[in-house]
Amino acid sequence: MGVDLIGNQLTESEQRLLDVYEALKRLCAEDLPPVAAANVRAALAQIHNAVNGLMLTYEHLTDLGV
Amino acid sequence: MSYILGAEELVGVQSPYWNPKVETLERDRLEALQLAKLRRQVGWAAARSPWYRRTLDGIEVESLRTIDDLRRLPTLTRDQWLSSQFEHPPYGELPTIDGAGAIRVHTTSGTSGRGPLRALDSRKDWAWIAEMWAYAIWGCGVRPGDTAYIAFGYGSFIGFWGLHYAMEKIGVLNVPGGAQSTEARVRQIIDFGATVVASTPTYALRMAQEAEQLGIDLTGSTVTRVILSGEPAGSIPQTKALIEDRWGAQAFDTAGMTEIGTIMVFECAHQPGGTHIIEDHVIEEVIDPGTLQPVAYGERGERMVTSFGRGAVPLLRYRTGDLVCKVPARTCSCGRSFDIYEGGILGRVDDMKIIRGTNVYPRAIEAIVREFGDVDEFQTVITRERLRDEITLRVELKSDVPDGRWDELEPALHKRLAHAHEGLNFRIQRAGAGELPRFELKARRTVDRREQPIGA
Repeated sequence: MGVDLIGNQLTESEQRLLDVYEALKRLCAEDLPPVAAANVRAALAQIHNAVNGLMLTYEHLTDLGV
Repeated sequence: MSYILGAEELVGVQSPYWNPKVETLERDRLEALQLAKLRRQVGWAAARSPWYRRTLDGIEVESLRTIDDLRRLPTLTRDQWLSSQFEHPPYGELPTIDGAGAIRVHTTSGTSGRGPLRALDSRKDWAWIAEMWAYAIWGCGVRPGDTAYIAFGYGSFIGFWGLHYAMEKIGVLNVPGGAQSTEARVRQIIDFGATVVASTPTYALRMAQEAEQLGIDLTGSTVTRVILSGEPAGSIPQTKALIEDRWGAQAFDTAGMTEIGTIMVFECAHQPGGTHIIEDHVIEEVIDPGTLQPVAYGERGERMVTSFGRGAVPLLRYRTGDLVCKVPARTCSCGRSFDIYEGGILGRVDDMKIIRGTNVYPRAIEAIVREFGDVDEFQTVITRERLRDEITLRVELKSDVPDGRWDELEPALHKRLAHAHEGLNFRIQRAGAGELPRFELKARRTVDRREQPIGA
């Protein structure tokens, strides 16, 4: 289990959120059909709010088209 | 006390906070979070933005060790941003991406004579813009099951766009009120059973006036909350009380700016007489505009913002020109650790005026008037007539201008001013020879006769 931006241990729920976020990032790097590529990016933009809001990570995603 | 995801009393609709873990952080932890984000944002800006690559040259991210190290970073002004746009059209050197990498562009509402600022957003940035509004609307008590009416034009001015998407995110039934007459909007608010209305303070009063003329009793309607933005009046006690009286609803102030893309402050359900700063997403410094040194809690100064939101247009130490007075979070009993702007945005450090939600700069007016060579002197007079602000340009012609010239000049001035101010209707009046004051040093050609000037 990791820690957040100020060193708190992540809860199980937080870790699962972070895992979903990282999985979406990895999907962005894949060659997906438009229906998946666009919706994965839309989902990643939204879930970034959750992981950023909960201090789990903070970064910009323009390199992934997000 | 610390809150974690899963704490039973703070999940779901019973939570008074949108983000309980962060909104209730102890001050030192909040500052640690800000520092962590600051370092990443500075690194991002220096690596990706041509502007910051130059202005941050020599500043190592690792050297930012405390939040006070922020003061070592250069400031950014609106003029610098505008100049950059002018020299490198259409977006200037601030952005980290070009138009092809963005999904939206919005512009500022006013003009300083060189056109509005243009701000790009990526997908993630745009999602964040709505997120900031979610802090506000959740914090004032909006919940799934509400019906929101958004009295907004949905144009290039960013205004309530973010609020619209925040409502959808929360699960509120949204009624977009664009491209409607005031009468149609008032009728839709009643017909849809809206429980929340969003508008500028001036327009909230205008709708109340219209309802009265239509014989509609808003105080007996389903509306329980009016969310205000776009003008400082939402925190002027007399204006707010008038809105609450006319609507029979609680009014909540918010404030934002196109340069950030969204709001940065909101009034919580405890209505502390001010607005909480969303401090996990922005650092708000309050400075003496002359010395740029920070002022203490309780002292008035210019707000300067560093935003962690936009990646497309990083904003570090942006001088807003807004006049504010910061007080500690404990001033409010809501439990948030976010500091407060007492009285919201108090006005402008400079002389910008806000007329019915449109920014009006005396300098921009002068730039337009000076295009008309027949004009000898002019004066801008701002008045409040009943509940509506009016702006009048009084014009004195040169003595050798033929009488018939006025008939051409008056509509041309009217059209030119309206075009530069989002269609704002300027009254154009001819003044007699020698009637207007002359100046030797600093001219004061703007006369604001409103009892509570907005944006003054």
